[in-house]
Amino acid sequence: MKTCALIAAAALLSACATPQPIVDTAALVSKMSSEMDRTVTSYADSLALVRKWDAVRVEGTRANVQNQRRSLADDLKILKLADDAVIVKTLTALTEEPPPDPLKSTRSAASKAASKVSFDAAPLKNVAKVTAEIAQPRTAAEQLRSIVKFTKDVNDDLIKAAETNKKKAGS
Amino acid sequence: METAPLGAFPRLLMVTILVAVNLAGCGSLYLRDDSVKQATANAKAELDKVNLVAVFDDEAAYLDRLQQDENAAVAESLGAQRDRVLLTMLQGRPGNPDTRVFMAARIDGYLQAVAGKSDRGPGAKLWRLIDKARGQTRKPLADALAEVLKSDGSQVQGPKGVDNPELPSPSGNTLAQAIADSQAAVVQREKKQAEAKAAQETFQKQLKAAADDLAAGTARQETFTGLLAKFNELLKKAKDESNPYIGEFVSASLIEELDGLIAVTDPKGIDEPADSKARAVIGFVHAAFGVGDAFSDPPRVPHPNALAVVKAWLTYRANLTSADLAQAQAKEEVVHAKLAAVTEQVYYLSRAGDQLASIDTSPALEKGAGFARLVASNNAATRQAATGTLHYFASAWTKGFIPAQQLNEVAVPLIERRASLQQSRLAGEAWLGELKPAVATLAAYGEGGIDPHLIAELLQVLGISAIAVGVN
Repeated sequence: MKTCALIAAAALLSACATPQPIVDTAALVSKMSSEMDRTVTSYADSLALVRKWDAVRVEGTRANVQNQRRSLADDLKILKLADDAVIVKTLTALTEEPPPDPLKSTRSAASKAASKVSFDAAPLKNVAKVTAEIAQPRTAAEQLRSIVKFTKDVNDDLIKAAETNKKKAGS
Repeated sequence: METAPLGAFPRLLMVTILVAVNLAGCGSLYLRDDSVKQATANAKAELDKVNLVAVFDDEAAYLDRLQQDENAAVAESLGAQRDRVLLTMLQGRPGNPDTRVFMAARIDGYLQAVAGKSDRGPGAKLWRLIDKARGQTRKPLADALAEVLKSDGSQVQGPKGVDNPELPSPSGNTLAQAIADSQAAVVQREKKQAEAKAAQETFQKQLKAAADDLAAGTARQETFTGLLAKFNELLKKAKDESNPYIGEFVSASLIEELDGLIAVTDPKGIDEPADSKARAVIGFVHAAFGVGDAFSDPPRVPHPNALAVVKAWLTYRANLTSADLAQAQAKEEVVHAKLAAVTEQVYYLSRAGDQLASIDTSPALEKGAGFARLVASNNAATRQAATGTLHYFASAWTKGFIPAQQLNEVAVPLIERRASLQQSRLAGEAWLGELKPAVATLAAYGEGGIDPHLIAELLQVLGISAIAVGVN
């Protein structure tokens, strides 16, 4: 009887330990999720940084253009005041046509406006955390708790069934 | 609620495990644990929430917007320079000779720099030759231009050491160079496509031979490791020789085989992958990933989750080569667009020179007077020729120099950034594609195991319920 109980207990303990392939998979998922979280977060940060540089460059070009345009606008204003209609009219007519898009086929103007680049890393962090916990070997106490809980569930079911049977027999 | 007394519990434990062991056949015995089930379900739910697409879509939209903004900035910048030159032409330059001389010098200077020659004066006009070339719609513009210019003896050359600091065209952006680049791009593409087609045929032959050998029972594991080595060798060659067509064509072959792979992942077909093509795919998958076995009888099909990982990898490889191809095509498109822009520069400068030559030179303009006098002339022919000169000169900037600058400063760097974005997107998708089957495996484990309710039912059927409840 004792031997039988020992065998049963050992079998139950092993049944409550997480199988090695699952431990390995969980560990791998946890590692991959953490790496992915780090990589994508750092990628999103680098995109935000490059956008700052872009803004500086475009602003610089615009500032130069404004300087060039300012002196040109002054000259045109003087010509207008001097009533030199031919020059003003001719220059306006010559320069009103916008330049063509050199790569018409590549981009659609309808693309949605870009927002601030950000990545919600919380789900990946959670995956990494949860799977890291699964990958941890279970302690004897945890395994024991699991066995007791399992057996209690079986016991509860049996009690419920017995009560139902009693009620049926009574009626 | 009544519970079983402590004395009954160990007995229940023993019986429970004995029944459970019998149920599981001792093979993969484990008890279902609600906490593990919850944890694995959480992992799956959290992974489903990961939204990489938003990051990449946002960046793609940002790059589109940046392209528009930078193109506008370049257009504004060169437009301001153009307007300054035009204003000088209209107003004239006090103390300087006739503005027509200044205009002629500017047109000659630009044409010398861009086309290697000026066509003012007698002889064929470049704009007419360009019109003729553009009329040959069945030929690429570069070929038509080269042919027309050669047949006329007007073959354009590189710049002839013209010192013109105000030239808006970036150095090296000449018509001769643009024609050569455009022709070379087409020749290179066709050469790479031919090489890729040959590589695809070789790979397909090997794949078919492996499938046939397998069907005839003469294949060995080395057949498939050799096939995998060939696949990797071709992908390496595609990368080393910057030939995205090899990767594309070889991936296309594998995607065809992917259908076979999908067929074996179909639960209905898993038991009997009799089709030799499907078995060959299993052989390839085994060689690449060590899962499944095409040689056992019946063939051992890899677990669907393992196949999902394989599919994610194959899709990633195929998409990566498509991205390389898209980048190569975008680069080629820019080369052709540059030729179009430089052609516009030459066309409009040539027309401006032609119009300038037709302006009546008498009476001479007073010293320093500008084109405004000619535009306001009582002589209709002079008025039209002067306006035409200015219009064509302005168009050389608007339709030629500005787009060329936009291509050099905006389009070319953005090709690299878009390619890099696409590679990151694909890597992210592949990463998720490999994580999902693994997490699905964990979730399946959490949901599986021996259910306590099932044990209770069995115990009742076996009449052992008295262990727990007989004492009540």
